[in-house]
Amino acid sequence: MDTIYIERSVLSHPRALRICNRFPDARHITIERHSDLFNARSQDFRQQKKNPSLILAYKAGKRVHATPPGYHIGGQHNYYFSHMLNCIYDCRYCFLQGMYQSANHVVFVNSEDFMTDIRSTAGQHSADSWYFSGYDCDSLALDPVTQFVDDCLDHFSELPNAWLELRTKSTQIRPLLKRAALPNVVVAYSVSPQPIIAAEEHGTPSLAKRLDALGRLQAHGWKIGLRFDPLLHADNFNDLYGEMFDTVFRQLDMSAVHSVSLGVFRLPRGFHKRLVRLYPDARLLAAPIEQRGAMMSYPEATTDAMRSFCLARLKTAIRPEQLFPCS
Amino acid sequence: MPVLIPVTVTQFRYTDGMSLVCISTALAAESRPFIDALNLRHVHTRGIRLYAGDGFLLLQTGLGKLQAASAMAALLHSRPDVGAVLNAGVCGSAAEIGSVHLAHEVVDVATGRRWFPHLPPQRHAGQLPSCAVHTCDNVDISYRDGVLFDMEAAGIAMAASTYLSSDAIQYVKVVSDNSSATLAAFEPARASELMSACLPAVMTLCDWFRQNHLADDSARIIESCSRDILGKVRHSVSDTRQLQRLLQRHLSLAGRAPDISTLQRLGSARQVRARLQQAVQAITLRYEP
Ligand code: SF4
Repeated sequence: MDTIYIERSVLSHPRALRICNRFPDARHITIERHSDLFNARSQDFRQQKKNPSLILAYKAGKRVHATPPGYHIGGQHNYYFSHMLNCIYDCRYCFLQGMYQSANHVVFVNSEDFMTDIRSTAGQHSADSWYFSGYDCDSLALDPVTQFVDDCLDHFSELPNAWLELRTKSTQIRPLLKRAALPNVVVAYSVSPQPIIAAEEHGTPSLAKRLDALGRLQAHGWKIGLRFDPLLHADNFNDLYGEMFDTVFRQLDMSAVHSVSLGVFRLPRGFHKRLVRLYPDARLLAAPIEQRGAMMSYPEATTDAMRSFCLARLKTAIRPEQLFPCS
Repeated sequence: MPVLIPVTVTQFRYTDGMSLVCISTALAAESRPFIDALNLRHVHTRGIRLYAGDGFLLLQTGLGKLQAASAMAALLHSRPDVGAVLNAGVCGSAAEIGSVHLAHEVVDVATGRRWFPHLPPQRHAGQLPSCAVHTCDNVDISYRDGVLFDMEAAGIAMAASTYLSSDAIQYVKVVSDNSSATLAAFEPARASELMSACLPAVMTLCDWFRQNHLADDSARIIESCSRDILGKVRHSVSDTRQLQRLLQRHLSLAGRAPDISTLQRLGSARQVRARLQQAVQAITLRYEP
C-alpha cells in the first residue's frame, strides 16, 4: 500500500492505528471526509486500479441495507452491509467499476457499529435474517489488513437467528480455519471456468486454489456455498462450463454444499455504459449484449441456453432445495 | 539549504499518437529552467504564452489563480492532444527552502473547494514528500506546518479537471520562502535557481504518466479505419459513434479490423452499420485453456 488517507475522526481509532502501523512506509495523509476524495469527479477508475490508495474512514448513517429483490438464498429477511468499498481484484465484469468514481479502497474502521446495527436489525425479526458481506467488495481478500472477519464471527457466534454469508474468491481463509465452524455462517465462493478466470478475473486465485480452499473449509465444518455468477457467454460455453462442473463435482462433497446460486452476466444499463467507456477493448463487452428493461445482458435465447445447460448439470449433483437461480 | 544540482535531461522522443505533457508555471523566471532543459521554443498563440518542444508544452499563465485557470482552459480547449498537466512553481511553507513537494490536496482558500490528485506510486515520485497546497488570492506568510501556499494551483485544478482525470494533473512545488527567510522581494534569478530543483521530479512524473498512458494501438487502428470509411460514406455524429464502437467490437473479438474496402463501397451509414453488425455477430468468442 503506497498511500493511505485517514479521516481525521478516526486518526486515533485502534483499527486505523493498527492498519497504519502495518504500512510504515506509505504516505499517511489526513483528510476530513472520505467522500471528498472517493466521490470526487474527474477520477479515472482504470488508472487508479493500477495503484489504488487505501482510505480509512468512519461509516456514519445507515450501515445495514435491505438486499435488492432476488438477492437471497432462501431467507425471508435479507440485508447486506459493506465494511469496505472496492476490491483488490480486477474482474472485467465487476459492477463496482460502473458504480464508483474511484478505484481506491475504502475501509470503514468502526466495525463495532456495523455489528451493533446487525444485532438491532436481527432483533427486529422473530424469524432468521440473513446478512450478506461482499456486496461492495470481496469479503476475505483484504482481511489480513482489515481483520474484519474475526470480529464479525465473534458477533455472529452470539446471534443464532442471524445468518452471515461471506462472499469471496480469495484463499485468505486462515481466520476461518483457526476457529470452530459456526452453524449460521456460509462461506460462498464465486466459481468460473479456469480459462475465464485467466482472461477476465485478473488477479484472482485460480479455480484449483478456490476449490482447495472450499475443500479445506468443508473439511473444517464450515458451510460452503457455490456462486456460478456471472455465467459468461462463449461459443465453447458447454465445454468450458461442463469441464468446470466435472472438476467441482469431483472435488467437493456436493450433497453437503449449503447453497448453489446461478446468474447470467447482467449489469444495469448505466454501469454497462461506464464499463464500455473504461474498457472499450474488453472482449467480454464486445459480445452481443442487449438491453432488457433497465438491464443489459445477452439475448434471451443465449441466456436461456446458458441457464438450461448449467441447471441440467447441477441437477445431477445437488438437491433442488440447494439451488437458488438468480433472477 | 540543499545544494541545487544542475540537471541534464535526456532528450525524450515524442512519437505519433502519444499525448503531450503540459508543464504550467506562473512567471518567466519559473519557466526558464524548463525552456532550457527541454529545448522549448516560443509558439505564437493568441491570448496565451506557450512554448513547445518534443513531447512537451509549457504554458506560462501569469500570476494568480484566475490567470492560471483562464490560460489553462484556453489551452486544453484548443489542444485535445494534451494528456497531462504538471503545475510547477515556487511556494511559501514552514518547510526548508529549496525542498520539493508533491501536492496531495489542493485547496482554493477563497471558496474552500478541494481537489485530490491521484498520486503516483512513491517509486515513481522519487520519494518526494507530499503536502496540501493552499491557493491564496494574496500572498500568505503564515507558514504553517504541512501546508504549502501558492497562488495558482487551484486555478490549474479548476480548469484542468474539466478535461483530465485526477491522476493526470499533478503539482510540484519548491519552497522559496519560510518564516526564517520571508518573501522580501521577488528575485527572478533566485526563482529560476530554485525551480531547477523541480526538474528531476517533473521529469520523473512525466515518465510515470507516459508509462501509464502508452499509446493505445487499438484506438489508433479504429481512428484510422473510421477515417477511411468517413472519407467515403457520409456519417452523422451519432452514426460515427456507433461505427467506432462496432469497429472496436470487431477488433476486440476478431483481433483484427474488418475489411474496410467493402464497407467503403456501401451507400449509407445505415448499410455500413448493418454489414458491420453482421460481421461482429459472426465472430466466435472462445475462451481457450
Ligand atoms: S472479486 Fe468481486 S468485487 Fe472483486 S473485482 Fe471481482 S467481481 Fe468485483
